[in-house]
Amino acid sequence: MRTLSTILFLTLAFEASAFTLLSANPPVYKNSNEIIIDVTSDGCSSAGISAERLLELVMKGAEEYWNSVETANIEFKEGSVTAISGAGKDQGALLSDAQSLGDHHVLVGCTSNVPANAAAIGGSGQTSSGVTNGAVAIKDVAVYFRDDDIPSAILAHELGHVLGLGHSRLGLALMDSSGGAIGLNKLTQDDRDGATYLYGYEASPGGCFKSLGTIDDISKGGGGSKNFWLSLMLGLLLIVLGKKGTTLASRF
Amino acid sequence: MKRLILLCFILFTQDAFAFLTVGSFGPPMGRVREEADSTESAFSIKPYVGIFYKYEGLSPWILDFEFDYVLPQESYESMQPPKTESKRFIWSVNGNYYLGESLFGVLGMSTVVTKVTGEGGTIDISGRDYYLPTEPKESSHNMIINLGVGFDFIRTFYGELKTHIWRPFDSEARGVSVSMALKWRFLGNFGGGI
Repeated sequence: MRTLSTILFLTLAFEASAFTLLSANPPVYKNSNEIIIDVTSDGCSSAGISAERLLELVMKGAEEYWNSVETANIEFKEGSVTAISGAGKDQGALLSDAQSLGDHHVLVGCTSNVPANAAAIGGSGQTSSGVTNGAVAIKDVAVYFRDDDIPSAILAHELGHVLGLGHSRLGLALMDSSGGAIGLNKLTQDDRDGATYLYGYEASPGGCFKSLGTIDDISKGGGGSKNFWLSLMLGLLLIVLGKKGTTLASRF
Repeated sequence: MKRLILLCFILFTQDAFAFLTVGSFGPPMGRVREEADSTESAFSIKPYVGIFYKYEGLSPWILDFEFDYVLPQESYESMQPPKTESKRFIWSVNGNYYLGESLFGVLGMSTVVTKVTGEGGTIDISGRDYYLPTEPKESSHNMIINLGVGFDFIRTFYGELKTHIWRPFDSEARGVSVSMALKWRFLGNFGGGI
């Protein structure tokens, strides 16, 4: 028993994640399985990237990184090339433009108006009526579009900010300030934890397990009491049935 | 109070207390970046402990009810506090179908609850303040499909190797993970059944 306790103690170490949030209560997308990505009309003219190509690259980043987290309810969907020009606009101006596209739209545009020390900048805003929009401004420079992986990783990093995540303290993470390691097109567990923290998949249990309740329901105290008592009753019933079953089986 | 009742329920229910599971529940296959050029193995050791109860009254199937807690892992050794924890609890109902004296197939479903929590506060990264998580806005609840095989060692020990399919109907988020478990019936009335 002592050996077992020692083994358990040694393995019981805490996972230290490193993800952060942009604010204490970042604006989150209520229907996060339907966030529409649109792009500005002029693409990245200096870098020789059309608007359609920019939309492809941002969707590649969205799908390969954020849409693939099985514990998070995030689904970026492809929108369209808008009639909005991004030339000379900063991220704030693009965010204002995004509001004209409707709730849950994220506008991505190439512009020269990005801070000198950044490749891109992204974020979201929420109106008093709860309409949430995001915008990403990427610098219109050819070096960021050398291949597919670099711009899609940069844009995926900025989409992380759009979701409400800040920079990570983990060097390999996509949300590291330098964008992490590019090439694998995968998130680290730290990035995935951040996505799960803000956008947990199915906030309430469903299916045939609904009546069983969960630890989460119990821990909330106020909610889920019905599920809690159902769980106990079902547990007791199974034990009684089990004992009856083994008794019957012993007769044969 | 509810937690206390739950604890009493577990401690004083002999059958539940008598059956112990230890195992490892790996990350989704090829999905999690571990190094700059590699993903974490699906067989990575992520220890879990649990209790199980086998209901033997539906021959030839045996229903296996299980509750597990995946221990938080030390992934980032050099990271300084404040810390963020990812906790995972798993409810499972699996059917065991014996293919012989000892070998059995496993088919079932689980609800996996993933809860990420932190200590809160702010942290300075590259001259800007960022916020650390506190209580989660959402906990993830995933229904997963379990498929696997098990081996029954003299009705006292069981070994199981299972694959788990996450979000089977979503082509982008679908994932497959692997778990391994040793189960031990060390107390309780075994009766004359299986």
